[in-house]
Amino acid sequence: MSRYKKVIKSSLTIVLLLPLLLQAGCAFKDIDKRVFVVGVGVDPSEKIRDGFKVTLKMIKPVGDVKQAPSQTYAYLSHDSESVAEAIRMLETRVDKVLDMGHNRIIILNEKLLSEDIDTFMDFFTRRGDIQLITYMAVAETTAEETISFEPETETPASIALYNFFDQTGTESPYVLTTFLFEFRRQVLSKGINSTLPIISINGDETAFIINKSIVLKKEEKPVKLSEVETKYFNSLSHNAAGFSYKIEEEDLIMVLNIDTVKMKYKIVLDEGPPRIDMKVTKYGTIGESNERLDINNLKKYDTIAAGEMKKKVMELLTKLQKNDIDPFGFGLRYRATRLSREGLFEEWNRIYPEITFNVTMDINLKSTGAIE
Amino acid sequence: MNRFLFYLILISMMTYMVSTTPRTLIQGSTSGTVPALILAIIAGMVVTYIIVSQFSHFPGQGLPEILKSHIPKWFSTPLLLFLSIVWFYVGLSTLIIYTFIINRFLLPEMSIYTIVLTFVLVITYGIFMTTKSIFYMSEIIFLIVIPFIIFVQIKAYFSPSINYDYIRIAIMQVNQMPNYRSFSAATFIAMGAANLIIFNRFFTKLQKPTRKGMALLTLFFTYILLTTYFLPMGFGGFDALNNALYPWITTSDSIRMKFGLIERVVFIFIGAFLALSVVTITMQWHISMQLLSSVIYFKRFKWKSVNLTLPFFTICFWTITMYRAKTVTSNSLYKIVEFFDSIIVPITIFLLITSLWLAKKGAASKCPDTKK
Repeated sequence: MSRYKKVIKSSLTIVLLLPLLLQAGCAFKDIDKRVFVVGVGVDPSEKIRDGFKVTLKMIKPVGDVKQAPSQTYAYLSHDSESVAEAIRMLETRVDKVLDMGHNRIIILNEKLLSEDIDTFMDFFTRRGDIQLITYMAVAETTAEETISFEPETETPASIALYNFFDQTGTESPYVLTTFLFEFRRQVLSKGINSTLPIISINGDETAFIINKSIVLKKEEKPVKLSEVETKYFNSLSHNAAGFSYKIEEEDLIMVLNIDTVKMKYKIVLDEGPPRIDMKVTKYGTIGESNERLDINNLKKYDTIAAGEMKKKVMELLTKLQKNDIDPFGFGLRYRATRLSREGLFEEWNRIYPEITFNVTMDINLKSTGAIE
Repeated sequence: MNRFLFYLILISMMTYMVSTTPRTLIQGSTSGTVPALILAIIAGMVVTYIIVSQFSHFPGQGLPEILKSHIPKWFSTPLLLFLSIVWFYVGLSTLIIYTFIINRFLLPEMSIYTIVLTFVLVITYGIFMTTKSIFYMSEIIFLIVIPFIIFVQIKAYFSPSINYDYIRIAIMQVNQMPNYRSFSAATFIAMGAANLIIFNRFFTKLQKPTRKGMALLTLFFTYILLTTYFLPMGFGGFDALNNALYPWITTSDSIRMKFGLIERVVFIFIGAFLALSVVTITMQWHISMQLLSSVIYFKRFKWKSVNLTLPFFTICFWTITMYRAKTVTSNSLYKIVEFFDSIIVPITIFLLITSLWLAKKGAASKCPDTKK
């Protein structure tokens, strides 16, 4: 028996070692044979009807980052009837493998959003190597222009657009982050409208401005949210940090720095007309003031700020309701709190335009900062 | 209860958590998966209890030995043959599904043959180990891999991107008739105890399941089952997941490790489950091989002093695997697995329990005689 095992073991070892001879035949391609795609832009095509123009931003491998004078990007674009076809054609224009696995941003043209999104988004979710944590954004002008724009603060070996969205660089409530998987689940779900950030370029072409957002509507024109609306929406639904708010009361001007925002809501149907009870709690400090402040008056500032902020939230909610969009996902919550039955979602569609909002704003200022 | 028994059951639960079960469960999401899950927890644990307590009457014996001494040959031979084919096929489908996963997400350019070959070589080495070594291997791999899996799952449950509303929508589908396909797929993953048909040889002192042990197992099973179904819902969305082929891979790709060594969790995740799947397939094929050789053993088929029966079976396994991996489509594979879960597995379990019961009766009728 022991001899039998010995033979088996040694022959298996040999068989296991044999594949080493095939090493040169592996699927691996070295880094000098790859070109990394770091951004994809999709525009409607001007040449082909119902086609797309796909622009790729590619980063060339550089031996030493320190010696590179500036960022070395290459841009390619191609018009085709589908995204996959365009990328196939682009492969014939590059001498290296197009590596999509490192891509972290997909920029769409605004005009594409009112069409059937599935047709061109399908490519990105179907391929296994494209990350589902890719950021999605909308270009204010065209996707091609936005993706090929290099702002002045962009340093070698970093891509400015990633830093905006990945919450390790800038963190601002104006910047909304939507991942590809999030976008997909929202587009396909009943009861929520997906939101995307809008990327624009400033007048003298030196920097990006990302402070607005857009809410998609199924096969209709999307609705844009202004800076302030984006800020409120983002802080309420994503608990985005760094919210600031200016209070003006008689001679007193103050800026509050809110660091924590918590929002809870409940759909109440059985007491009188349907309503949504929303409770917002914010914690923060006073960041700037034109007068000396008394720390004992914090409660007073709380109530002043709460009143004003409540108004803004109400404005946002009624705007969303008037446009019949639901980026917060109230419809989802409605479905999530009732046992499933036929026509549940249609029921919600009837309720939503008439629902009233009851916002309770609770501001807790902790201190006046380092000075009184 | 012996700790190795836990590994036996837990490893098979975890392997199927990624491969086929989630898709079957999600496809029944609007037609009764949730009540099916509740039933599956009960059924899975009852069957586990019965199998373990039946085997505890035969310390240190595998099914072939038990049947040989207590059951007529005309019944035991076809039964063992049938069981060995079942176990081979279960292992084969796991192998092919994981091959597909690797081919789609890790090495899209590699030939499917190379992947299968690598798998098969490692597993073949495992098959020829003794039952005891397989247990030790399973323990080592389990302990290495579990921290990663738990880490990823904790990361997922506390991720800001998970939306619990989708999970609540899924729970709200509880008011439906249980779905048999979901029920059988969910029960199947608890069937690790059935591996005792060979692995019982290792347990010379297998005790009846204790209350504490069963409670612990129920807890694990409930957690694994609920996580398998509900966690992908939170990331993929209730309405959007239906057409996902590998819901768990998609889910792990949606988890972002902001400050991690690598941002994409999916590679850690696939790696961990790959290790578990290798252990599972090794166990299943080891069982299949042992059962097969207990029925068919060519005494004359020799090369020097080495009997070539087992290597011959191995080569048969390889050929079938290669052929299946190339010809099967992922959809027909799912269909076969579903058929297997809903029809073959209940029959197998029934046959297993009946034969054990008969054997016990046979043993009991002999015992009093010897005592007297």
